[in-house]
Amino acid sequence: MAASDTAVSPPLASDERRVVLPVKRRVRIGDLWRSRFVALVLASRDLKVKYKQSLIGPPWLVLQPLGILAGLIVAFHGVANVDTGGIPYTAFALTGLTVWTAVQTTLLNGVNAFVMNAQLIRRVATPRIAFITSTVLSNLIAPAVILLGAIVVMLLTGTPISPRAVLLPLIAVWIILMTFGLLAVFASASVRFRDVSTLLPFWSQAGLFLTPVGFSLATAPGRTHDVLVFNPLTGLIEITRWSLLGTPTEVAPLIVSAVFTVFILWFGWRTFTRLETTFADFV
Amino acid sequence: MPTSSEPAIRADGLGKDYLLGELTDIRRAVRAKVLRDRAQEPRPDFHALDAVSFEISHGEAVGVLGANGSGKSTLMQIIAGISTPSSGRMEILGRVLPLLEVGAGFHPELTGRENVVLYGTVLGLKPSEIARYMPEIREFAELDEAHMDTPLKRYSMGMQARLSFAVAVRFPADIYVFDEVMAVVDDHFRGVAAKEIARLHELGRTVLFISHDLDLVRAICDRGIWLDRGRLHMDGPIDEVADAYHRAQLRGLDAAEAAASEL
Repeated sequence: MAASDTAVSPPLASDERRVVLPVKRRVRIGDLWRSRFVALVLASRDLKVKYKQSLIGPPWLVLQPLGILAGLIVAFHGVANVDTGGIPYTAFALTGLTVWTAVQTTLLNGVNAFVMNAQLIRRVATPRIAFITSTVLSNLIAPAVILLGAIVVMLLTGTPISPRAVLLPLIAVWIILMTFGLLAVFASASVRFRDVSTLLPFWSQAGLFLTPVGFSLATAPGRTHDVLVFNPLTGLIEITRWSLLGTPTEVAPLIVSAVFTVFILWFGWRTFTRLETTFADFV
Repeated sequence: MPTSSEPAIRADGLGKDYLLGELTDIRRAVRAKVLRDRAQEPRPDFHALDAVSFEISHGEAVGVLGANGSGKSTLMQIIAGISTPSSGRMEILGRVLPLLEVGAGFHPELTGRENVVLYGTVLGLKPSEIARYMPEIREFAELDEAHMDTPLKRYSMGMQARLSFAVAVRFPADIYVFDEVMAVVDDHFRGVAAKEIARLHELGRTVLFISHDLDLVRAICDRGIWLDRGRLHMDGPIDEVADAYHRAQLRGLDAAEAAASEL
């Protein structure tokens, strides 16, 4: 065996020692924190890239939800004239839209997170969990803008902001956790089955009508009400309205949401860690 | 504190199998999951690497030779931590900096500077370290400040290749991996890059170098590893391995046939 002709090796740039084994899983929970710099750089990359060569740029964050809001106002306020319990309809719809956007746009933008970053996965040892965290991070701005819009509308119309609004940060954490779990499942699965990214836009279009975004759970009639309770997003929207608008909420959808969040976090982490070792081979 | 007297890379019986055919097939999926038919034909697989064992010390420059499909790139992917093996074991001490494809991991909409930050972060460097190496990288890539702040998609191919190389030779690491990256640059820059890889070796860094240009491999490396259809065919001083490989190429035979004809 040829020995090195260099007399003295320099000190190591990194004393990282890596044992490579044919394992089924190699990602640990701690990698979420260890990959934080990568996640931040990827998130800022996604935000920078999103509005490059865009004439309007970041104001799209306001214009986009205005479009959906107009639709909700016509359909649910104009045509169906839903009862909001005395809350101005715009503020009511915007709180629902905040939660909806947080979950739906993150999933739509992130379902191809691994597929679109195939180069970084196949050619550089990027910590893969960072693609999930970065997607969740970079998609926090859109719902935050909508939430701000809801608060502005409340101030303008003199609607009192409930003191329970101090709990909003905790509710945001809850929403983020559920989104993280869902994204981990969808993005990981779409590496193997591209059907996921075909299905998702359809699912989200249908979902807007099966989720009390533009109307309230309380006003939904019997059978419809019972179906809506089992939608895990219903609980998130209900508690957000409870906290900001001070509307009453039922307990059942909150339990459904809580149980679903725990389940999807476990299932998402499991799906991701199991498939992660094969991403480079299958993507 | 680990010393660099321990091997940089130790591979024991490393193997990697790939499934052949379309990965996602509804008929197979239905049979396996719904009908619970376990008796269906097994999917054909391909041994990209088969029981490969070797040890590389810190400071060695190793040329990996082999025809296309011999497992060179698969081995580099495992060393880089990108792919996992199907069998065996590998131990790596130190940071690996792979350049498996020129421009890999770069985003066309980001500026040169932003791409360097992205790449450095992915390698595990802190923002302060990246900032420290930025001037060196810019200089090696022969780019001015204005270009560093221009989106990569407006670079020429040569400029992109130079920046990619600059990142791969100037960020601090212990094991540098170059997989067939010399083919896309012009003659002038190929000379510059080869000199730079030789310099990494002189500095005592470990270098793994894959190229079909045997003269270049001889110039840069002191040891050769010859892979043939996923198996380790020969391991020794670069001149011996390169000569044997070259003879096999001239005969127009691959190694296994050569061995068979000698029987």
